[in-house]
Amino acid sequence: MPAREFFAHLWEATVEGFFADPVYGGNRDMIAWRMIGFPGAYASYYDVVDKHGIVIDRPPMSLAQDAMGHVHLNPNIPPKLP
Amino acid sequence: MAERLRPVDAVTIGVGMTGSILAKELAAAGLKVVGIERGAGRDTVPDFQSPVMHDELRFAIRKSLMMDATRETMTVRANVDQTALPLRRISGFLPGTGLGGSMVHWNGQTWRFQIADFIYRTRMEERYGKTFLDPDLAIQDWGVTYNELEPHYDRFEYLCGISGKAGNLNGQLQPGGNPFEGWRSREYPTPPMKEAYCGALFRRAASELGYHPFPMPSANLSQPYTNPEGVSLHACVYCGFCERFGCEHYAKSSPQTIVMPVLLKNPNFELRTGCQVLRITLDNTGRKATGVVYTDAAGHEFEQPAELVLVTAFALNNVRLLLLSGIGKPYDPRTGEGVTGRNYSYQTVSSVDVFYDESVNINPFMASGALGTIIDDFAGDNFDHGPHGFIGGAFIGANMSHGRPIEFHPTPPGTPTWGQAWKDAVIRHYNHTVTLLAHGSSASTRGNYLDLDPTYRDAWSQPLLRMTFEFPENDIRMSAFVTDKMLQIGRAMGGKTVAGAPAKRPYNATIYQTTHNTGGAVMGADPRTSVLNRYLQCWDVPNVFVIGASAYPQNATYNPTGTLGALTYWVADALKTKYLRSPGPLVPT
Amino acid sequence: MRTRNILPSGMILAIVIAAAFKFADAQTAPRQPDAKHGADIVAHGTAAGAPPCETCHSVNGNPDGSGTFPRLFALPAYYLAKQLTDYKAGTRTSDIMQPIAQMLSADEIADLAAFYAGANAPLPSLAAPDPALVAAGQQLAMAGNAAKAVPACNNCHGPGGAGLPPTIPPLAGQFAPYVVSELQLWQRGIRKNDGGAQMSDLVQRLDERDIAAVAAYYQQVKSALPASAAPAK
Repeated sequence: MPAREFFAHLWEATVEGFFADPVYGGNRDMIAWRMIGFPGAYASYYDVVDKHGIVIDRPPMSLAQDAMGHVHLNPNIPPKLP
Repeated sequence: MAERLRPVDAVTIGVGMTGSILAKELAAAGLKVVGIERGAGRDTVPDFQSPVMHDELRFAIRKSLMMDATRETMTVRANVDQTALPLRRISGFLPGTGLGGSMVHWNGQTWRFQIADFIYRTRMEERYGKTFLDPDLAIQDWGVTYNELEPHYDRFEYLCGISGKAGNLNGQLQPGGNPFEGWRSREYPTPPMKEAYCGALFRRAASELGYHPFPMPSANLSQPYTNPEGVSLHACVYCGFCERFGCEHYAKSSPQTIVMPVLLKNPNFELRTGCQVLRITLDNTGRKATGVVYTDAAGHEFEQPAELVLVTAFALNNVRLLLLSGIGKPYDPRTGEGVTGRNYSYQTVSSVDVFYDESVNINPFMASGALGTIIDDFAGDNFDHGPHGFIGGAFIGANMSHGRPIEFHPTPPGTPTWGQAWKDAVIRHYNHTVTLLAHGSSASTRGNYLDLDPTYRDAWSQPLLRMTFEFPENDIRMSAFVTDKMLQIGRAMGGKTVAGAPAKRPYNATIYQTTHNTGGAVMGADPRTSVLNRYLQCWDVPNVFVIGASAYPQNATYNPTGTLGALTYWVADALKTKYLRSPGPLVPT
Repeated sequence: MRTRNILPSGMILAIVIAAAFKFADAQTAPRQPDAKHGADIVAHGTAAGAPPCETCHSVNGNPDGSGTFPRLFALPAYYLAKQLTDYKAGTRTSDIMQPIAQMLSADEIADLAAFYAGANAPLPSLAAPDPALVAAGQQLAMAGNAAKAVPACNNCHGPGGAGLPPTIPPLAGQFAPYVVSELQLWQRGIRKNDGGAQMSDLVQRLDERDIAAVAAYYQQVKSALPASAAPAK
């Protein structure tokens, strides 16, 4: 396999692990999302989408967190729905 | 040996947008209709609910709602001198699977084509002369006009509840809308969406340059709406998980949210999921379809006899089914003969990034699939192409549909592609970048076409579809022109750095560039250059209708779905008022 | 001195937002909200005559145990400020809250919102709810209802109903009678201060049992620490 192809796949996999929801085990404590300011899996912005420039600085939320904020890992989520 | 089932009046191959609308219309007209869907049944509740749905890795990257490339895929090559290879992972275009089809995971951008688009060959030759067009272009007229389709556009838009602002009401230009659009008979069913920051920044710059910005017409609704079928949608919450995802909120027009509740309640309709249609069966004259053959999830084969076969499986699958079933003479680019597979086209896109100071918070994650501010000044034939030497154009605008970080982490040119410097650049620019898009037309050529692959087969041992496609020179020149205009607007938007590039050859089928695969089973006035007549009825097999963007002789500037919705109602009308009263060819050959 | 404020609610809200958030193009540094001053108002009221908030919105539940006065702890500042502003302008109606809000200045509203957003208190022990009702409520909260075309409440109200700052309030740990009465007010069109009719439209599809069920479920969702107050870890 050409080195360029391999590296591209490796890099892509790294980015995926880095920025994916922490349910999969990477992006622990949502550090990557905090780094860039991405609020995560819960998203409902009707009232603020047109407040241009507003600062959204709430802690990010994982799809796997409970009401206490604890993230329950589940790396075995199937890629395809049944 | 296939088990022969009891005959029905009509079968739809696939129950996505076109299949579900047509099934609803025919079932309501009293026909017994069977809808055969290869994928699983699914509904907004429970299948599209958050937070499970808001998983970028699963749905946007692993493509959970899309066709399973381990069972069927396409092979791709640039021209007849190459050997086509299979797409092991689909990424360049994303055909869906499952009930509702690709309309479950689309972005919702809902346009009408221009008046000139339907008489494209005639109009281009009239305006610019026959010798203006590159000789490899195979553009054709559609056989139907915008005026004939207008009431059906209207009907589809009101089915979906499209949010927008009319620019041309019965010939009168309207402020706030698209001044270049074809006339429409009434206002959109719901008002435009709210404008995001990126749209406002684009609007200001575009207006200052003398262009005419307007809100993108959207199937992500701006307010609650009940459609003429009595089905209701809610207002979009701008969650930023639109394309590649099902909508949790009943706010995106999809078969589930616009027609399925009515369809599934009608006892005339029967849905079979997990069933792969293998081919359309013909009688021994080859001029009448007798039904379809399919396998269910357990591998049992069935023959479903039907009086009427509606091929509604998505453009690419439509063409493949015709080829597998021997309907229409397959196109051979070397001789120019044949019709099935001819005139395959796509979309020509490019983008520009505008990088801002850290004080400018763009908040790209507050977004919706069809949220955008657009100009049509360089779309279609809206400007004089004489000095430029190409046909076609693009709409240009700010339509940032998401801020999901695996897919979106823009960095300016010169940024290293990995390491600390890359990380620093991502942090610096993620929330302070606007991405502009130019979404352009795709001319058909003699060399771009679809046929069956000679080597590769699917999980049912049937030949895969082979796609032979390269961007025409015409479209490369068009893309250079519109990208230049887009860069000009980008520079006027007040950023610190502006960067972008036009579409280039070779076409790379592994990079996502829209799922706007069009053509291959085109409609037209002449059976020598089309598979279908103007009612999307097969010239050769009059009880087969093929409703998909496969009917488009070339692709116009805009997303194909709005026009396909109009064609679907146009065909429903032809079936109910003409064909069912007197089955047979609706256009003399 | 009784303050009578005739500014429209949009303008008041804009002042409060400017006070609560940093805007890139603000001409002058906006006033930072003062949570300590907010605490003072909660305990002692204001000079203009607004009563102490904790008279009704006390830590240990309501004096009459009815649960009709909502828990305000850990409400996102933006949301609480908007509600007080809306009461002040009459955009949200209440015989009790409107006169009180009219006695509050925009700065006092911002201070109160800042206090409550940063504060928390243990949940009072409440009567055990009917388990079947709670299960039905959980279903609606986490999955929605297909037949009624109702999406899951948690989609917008956050994990376990923990809220989605800045704009969407937590439901977790909120008193059930209050939630029931608010859903009824949305349903009847009496409360209308949501953007895009999101609540009014969705709640039309719920029946009496659905409303009782979600209220019962959310009240007992344990350890409700809304996201705005959750530790960074």
